[in-house]
Amino acid sequence: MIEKVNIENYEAYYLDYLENNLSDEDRILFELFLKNHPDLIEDDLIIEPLSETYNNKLSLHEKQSLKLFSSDEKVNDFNVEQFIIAYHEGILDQIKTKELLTFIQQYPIYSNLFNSYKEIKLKPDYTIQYSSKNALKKGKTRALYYFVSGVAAMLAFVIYFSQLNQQKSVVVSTNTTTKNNNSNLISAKKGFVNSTTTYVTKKQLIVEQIKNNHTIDTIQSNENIEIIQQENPNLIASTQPLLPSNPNKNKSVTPTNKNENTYLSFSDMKKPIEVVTQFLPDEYQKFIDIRYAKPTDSKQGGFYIKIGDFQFSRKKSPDQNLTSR
Amino acid sequence: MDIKEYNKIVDLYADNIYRFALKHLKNEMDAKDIVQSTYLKVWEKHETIALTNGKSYLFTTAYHLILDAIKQDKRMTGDEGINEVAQSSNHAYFDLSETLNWALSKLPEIQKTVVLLRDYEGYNYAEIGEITGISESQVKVYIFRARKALKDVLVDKDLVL
Repeated sequence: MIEKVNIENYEAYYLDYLENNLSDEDRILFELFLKNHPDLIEDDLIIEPLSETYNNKLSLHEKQSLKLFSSDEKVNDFNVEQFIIAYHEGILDQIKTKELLTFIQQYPIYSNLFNSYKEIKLKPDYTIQYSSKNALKKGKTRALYYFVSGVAAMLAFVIYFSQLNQQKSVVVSTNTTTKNNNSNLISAKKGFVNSTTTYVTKKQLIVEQIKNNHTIDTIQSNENIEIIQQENPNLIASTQPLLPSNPNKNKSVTPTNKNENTYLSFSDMKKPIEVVTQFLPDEYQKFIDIRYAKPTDSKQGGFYIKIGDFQFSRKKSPDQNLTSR
Repeated sequence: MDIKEYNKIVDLYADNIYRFALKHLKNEMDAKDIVQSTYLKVWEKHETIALTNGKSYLFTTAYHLILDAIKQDKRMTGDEGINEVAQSSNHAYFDLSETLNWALSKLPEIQKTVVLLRDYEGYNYAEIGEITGISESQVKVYIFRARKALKDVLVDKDLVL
């Protein structure tokens, strides 16, 4: 049988015993327990109220800071800071705003406090921006972004190569053309010509040669480019290069095969692509020519690309492997 | 919210979310991760989110992700941050905004959050409470405490008139 007062719970009984909170029956049982366990008797155990020894208190200011702000209160020294914060938060009504400002006027010592809170409004730094917004987007917009990026990259490539070719010499084809072949005349766009001294010189040279009835070889022209042929309808093509500074006046630029019956000359090829630079500003204008032709039973095919002084071509004969030059 | 509306909130609020995350985490890579994770979560539930709620949903999501990131990095400062702000520092900050940013970084996370949402995004107390999951009255308490802590730093550094 478990005793009512035992070694596990005697301490609880002890406190009640000292405070005279035990019933008569429990008191007798507890005293009997202590008699049987004299080593558990606490001689120094004294119970005194602690409230008189407990001195830690919050200051009035600390208590005030714990309170929730209530605009119903009258503005005073204890809550003026709360009202100042509320004012700058924009949550004070007209009446309370007037009361606060009047209070600060009455007690100018609080004006510094008022100004302090005015300064601590945070402002976003708009220079901090997220740089990869497009990567977050979904659907067609994202695809369009990649497409536009691709086109922009291609245009940048074209501009870059155009910029590389700063020399303005126009190397011409050695193909002869008939006088009626208008598209084979050299021309220069006005604005394009005026962009650099070299180009101005070239136009002057062109005009000079035309005046002297020199035949002029051509490269393919931009449809938007002014056609000088209009000035000289009887002009015939020649193999003479355009710029006198070119030491190799008879140097062929576009590779051709002497046997024109079987090989398609580049001048006969189609131009599938409009001149890319026609939409660019004048200062970026360069001669660009792109031609292609499918091989036929009797003639070669291939393609030819020229951007400024840079050129590349490949030809394919009807029954031969592709050759590059 | 359809794709078009989703892409619209990317344009409108990606910078805001990034700034918000950066102020908390002080690390660009972590802040960018938060932005990506936030928008991913929003996209996953875009069909149930109206465009008008997009911004608050973004900030709510970002806020919780930031808290998770902070717990992971063990950067929680706790309430002792209040005292830390009030103490003088050895940092020689003479510029007001620089000092404010420093003081802001020392605030407890919840106080930093409510002040940023209030000043950066212009949310009212009820909206801030919705985002952070605390009551409106508690938001006011945090705002007031944060303002006081920031003011104490400025006064300490004689940066106010």
